[in-house]
Amino acid sequence: MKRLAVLFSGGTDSTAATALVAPEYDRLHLLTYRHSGLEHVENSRTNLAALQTRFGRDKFTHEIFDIDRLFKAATYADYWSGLRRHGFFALASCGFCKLAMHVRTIVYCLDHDVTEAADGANINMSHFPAQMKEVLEPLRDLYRQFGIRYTNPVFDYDYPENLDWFDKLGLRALTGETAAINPGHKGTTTGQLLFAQGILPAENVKGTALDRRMQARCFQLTLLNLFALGSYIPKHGMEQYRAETASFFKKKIDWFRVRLEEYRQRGDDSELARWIDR
Amino acid sequence: MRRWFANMLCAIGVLLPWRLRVWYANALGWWAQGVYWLYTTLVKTIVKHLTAGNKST
Repeated sequence: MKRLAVLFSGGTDSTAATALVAPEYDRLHLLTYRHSGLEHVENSRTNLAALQTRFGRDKFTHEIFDIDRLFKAATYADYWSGLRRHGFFALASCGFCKLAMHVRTIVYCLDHDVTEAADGANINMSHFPAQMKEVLEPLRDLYRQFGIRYTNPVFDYDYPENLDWFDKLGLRALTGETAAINPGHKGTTTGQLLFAQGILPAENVKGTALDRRMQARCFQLTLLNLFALGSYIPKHGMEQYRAETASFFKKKIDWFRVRLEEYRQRGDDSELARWIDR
Repeated sequence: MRRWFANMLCAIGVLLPWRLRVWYANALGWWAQGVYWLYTTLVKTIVKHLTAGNKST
């Protein structure tokens, strides 16, 4: 039986990644994660239902795991030396959260003999650590060490523009113009893929009420945004931000590499097992 | 000034223990949402009245 583990938030990208590869697998294990500050995780079931309607109920299993202790461990791994060397990169909560999700996915794959994993990482979420090629490659290497092939099926998909401010504020009613749909994008977006498959009711649901109903809400990104967009990138530029992020996260990944290896050898007696909620 | 303000908020965040940091990030997030909501609501109201005025003339 061909099986795949998917890091599944229920948002457009992870749903599109699932829909894209679903025909190739007999069973997809959709893994949704919960931690402090992440609200309405159960919203992930909205698109699960749509996927089941499209591809069949038996094709999917869906589990929600608590990763609070792993998230905390990722945040505070070598905290003071990281803070001294990399400064406010220590506030990159979104990267720590995603790293904790990856570690939990590897544990799941080891426990259930699953040898392939995927997620909805996309090139256009450029300042989020776990969406950067420079961070994804060491992550891929981490998976490989444990006999798991990790892929990003929608990495090169285009990203929709946010709904135009003109539309959000109702200004078109004043000018009489018609709405511009995705004026900036050039190729296929994940929303278009899902719309074509009948999973989403529109090509671009970004920022709509449906978008809020189909995935969890998290404000932990506020600190990363403050640091990255409000301070670091305006001063040093995107290239240096990416290089520094990659260097910082490489150390975090290596920190977990040692602990995952210990988990593989010692199982429930390992340090990592204490941070795993089953 | 904007960078100084961002750095000050980050400096607080970096020193807070785990649970407080989560609450702090949430509070900042809700504050930003509130400002956004207030801004869009105000502009929408103004646009609504301007549109009604346009139609009546």
